[in-house]
Amino acid sequence: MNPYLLKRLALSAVTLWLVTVVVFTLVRVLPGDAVVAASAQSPGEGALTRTEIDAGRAVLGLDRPLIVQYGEWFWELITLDAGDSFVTGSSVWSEMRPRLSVTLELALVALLITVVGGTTFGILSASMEGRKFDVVVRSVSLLAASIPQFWIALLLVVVMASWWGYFIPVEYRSIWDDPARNAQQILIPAMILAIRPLALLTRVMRSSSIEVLGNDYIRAARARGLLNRDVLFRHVLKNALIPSLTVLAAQSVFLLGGAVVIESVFNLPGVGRGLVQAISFRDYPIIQFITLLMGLGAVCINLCIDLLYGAIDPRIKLARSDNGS
Amino acid sequence: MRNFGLILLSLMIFVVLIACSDSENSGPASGTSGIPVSKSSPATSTTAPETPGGPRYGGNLRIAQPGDPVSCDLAMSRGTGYQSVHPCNPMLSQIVRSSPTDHSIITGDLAEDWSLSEDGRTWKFKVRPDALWHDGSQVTADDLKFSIDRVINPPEGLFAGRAAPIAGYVSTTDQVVAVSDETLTITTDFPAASFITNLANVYVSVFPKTITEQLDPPSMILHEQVVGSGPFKFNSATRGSFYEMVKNEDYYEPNRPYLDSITFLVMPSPAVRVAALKTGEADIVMLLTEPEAESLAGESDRIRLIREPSAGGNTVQMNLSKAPFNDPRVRRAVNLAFSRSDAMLALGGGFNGAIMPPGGPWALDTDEVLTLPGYGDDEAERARARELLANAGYPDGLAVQMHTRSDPFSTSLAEFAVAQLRKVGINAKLIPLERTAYAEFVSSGEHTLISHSHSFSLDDPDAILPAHYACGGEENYPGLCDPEIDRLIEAQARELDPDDRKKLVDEIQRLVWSTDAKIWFNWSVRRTPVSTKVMNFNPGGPSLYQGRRFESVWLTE
Repeated sequence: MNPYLLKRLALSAVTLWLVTVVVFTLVRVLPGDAVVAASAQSPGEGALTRTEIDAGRAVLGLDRPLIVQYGEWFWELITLDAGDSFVTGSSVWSEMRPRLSVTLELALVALLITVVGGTTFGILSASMEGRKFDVVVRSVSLLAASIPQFWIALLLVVVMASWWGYFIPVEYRSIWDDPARNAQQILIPAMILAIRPLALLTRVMRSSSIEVLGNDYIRAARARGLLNRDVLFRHVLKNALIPSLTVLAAQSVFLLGGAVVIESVFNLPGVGRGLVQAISFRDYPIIQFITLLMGLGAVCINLCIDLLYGAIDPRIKLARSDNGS
Repeated sequence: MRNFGLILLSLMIFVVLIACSDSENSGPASGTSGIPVSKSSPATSTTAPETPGGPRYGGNLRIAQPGDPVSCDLAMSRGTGYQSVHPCNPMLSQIVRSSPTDHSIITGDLAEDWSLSEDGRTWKFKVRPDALWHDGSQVTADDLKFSIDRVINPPEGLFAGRAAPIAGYVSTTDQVVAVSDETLTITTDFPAASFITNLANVYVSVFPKTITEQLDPPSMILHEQVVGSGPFKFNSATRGSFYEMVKNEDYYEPNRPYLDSITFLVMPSPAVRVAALKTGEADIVMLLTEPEAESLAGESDRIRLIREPSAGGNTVQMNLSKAPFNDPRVRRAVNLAFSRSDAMLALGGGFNGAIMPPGGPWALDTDEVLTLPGYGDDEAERARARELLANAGYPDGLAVQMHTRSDPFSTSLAEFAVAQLRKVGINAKLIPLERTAYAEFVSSGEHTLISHSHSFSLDDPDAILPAHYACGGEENYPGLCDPEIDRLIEAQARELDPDDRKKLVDEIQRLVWSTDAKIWFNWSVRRTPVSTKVMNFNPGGPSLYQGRRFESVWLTE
């Protein structure tokens, strides 16, 4: 195996282990635990006595030393068992599996919109630098990158309901059960989720494309009589992609995080909402699983982007091989 | 004068609400022992339809709420509020229940009849023969015993929540006997006036013994796990999205339910819930704030807004063991700082009351309430408050911290409280805490002053007083521990004469009020917007929890 890849994999494993330590520690720093949280769900009634809290903690194993709790959880992870939810008693995996498919679908559609929209608008804007289209794209992308997503999402729901009497269907159906309904439920939230990454990618793509467009080989290509479309998508796109990939990596991780808010507004039963609920209930196994999963996602995305750099620009690959050997 | 006008207005609203309620069955009957055994037959437990055309069968009722149900095992879960009760109760039954149209009436449920022994201790329940679990098996007295036993002696890791008062009457499971498949007897430790009322609490739900025992833990926590005997049965659910139940064709009440199905929609954002109501995506939205309710003003042709007493309200509570609130003069000053009429104005209405829900059978007489400290002339009381603070050593006022939950509802109430306290020179710094952090903080006893809301599931002295005002009560956040109050709480539970019991409860209210430990500054109004196509949706009383089985609700289209 490529030594560079091996080194990156080893670093990723260390990163993930650190994530487990940080996540495990942080959730326990939060005041209260699952036993107290259960009695806090209904305002005004149902508080537990200290005796009941202690008994509840003993049943959940929260009275044991932290190192023992961590060791048990870590061993479960190694054996691919994420434990059971403190709230429902079901296995974490069975709780999260349906949620994962919702969030992945949402994030993938948003990513698709980001990549297609961001590269197209960026390149076109660069090719029309200083013209009306460019001014509009720059202004809109600046605005889109500045406005909070939850605000746009809430506004859209209220406007659609008030002006057109339309409400996105609530009962979630998977793409396999009811593709048409699923499209109604996913497309608009994915578009909202993609607004900020799309705006950022557009701006980065535009600036890197302008830089590439000024190179001699582009002038040479045009002198050879190549169509503008061919110049943009065969020569400019590939060379402008490297800086955009860095932005795309960061924004892909952001998509996972942004899903937390978007899922709540659009009533999508995804991982993001699951995380919010789990934090509220101090459901440690679920919180740990989701944050670890997001950490894993971030590590994988960054690893993939690093490998993509090499695939797009062989000089980067060569440099790594030289350093690695 | 303005205050008087507001008080008069609130009284008029209250009188209208009372007049609108079903007064025909409001008086509890007494059994031979003197214990109220009021009941109506199961067949009359539902109301007549609201339109002359009669009820219509079919349709899907859609109700929006902010979150998922925490647990459908209502008997075994602390803190399960209406978001658990409403989506789960339609699948469940009880031994006896509060009438859905008038919560003060106890009606048969799985028990078609019951009687009380001469000594007032042994209750005999006759299990209805036509009651079936959703899997088709027969409901037996064994199931009823199992359900009461687990409240008295909860399985490991589970806690009897709001069902817990039952264990205060029946201390051992030996006192619950399944005499035969059709007969159950429960012997209380003492003749208890409120036993049957607490047994009728929605939280004392009945679960099938065999199926529940096979679960690990033995508790129907998840919606899809529920095998009940209620009018609706589980159909499908996606956690975080929706919970759907369909009509139980074998339901024991004749010709019920009317609806084909009920769907509970999970919508965390209040703006989204209101939007869903406006577009017809939801037929009912539970609990709105006043500004949200006002946003529906132009929709009166499609949405009617039900405003009713909420059996709950808003308080500030002081830790009696911590300075400066260990000084009764400071506590009295806090009480006098609040203008109840300002509270009604700022919080969208409300009711005047002492420590039991106003409008209910245990409320202190309204005339007397208006003579309590805190209900007098605002300016005179605030002048007196400043005087008390000066006498207590705080002539220039004092600075304190006030903790509350960080949700918008709680913080808006706390902000009102802070503004009221400032008027007498008490500068309270508001510290909102996340829900669980707040619960941990309060349970640790570290608090000095909190702004806290209560919503009672049952308007009954035994369900409210011991937990909130007795020494060591789990909701007794001020740490009140007065032997005389404890004695009276114990005495009222054993007093069988309704009038004498009411006098004892009134005495407790006066005593507790005089401690100024928990200041009720506003008994609140609940706002429930309902689509005009929903008929027979009658909460039947101030509790947000009772009578929510929806078997008599029907849709016009």
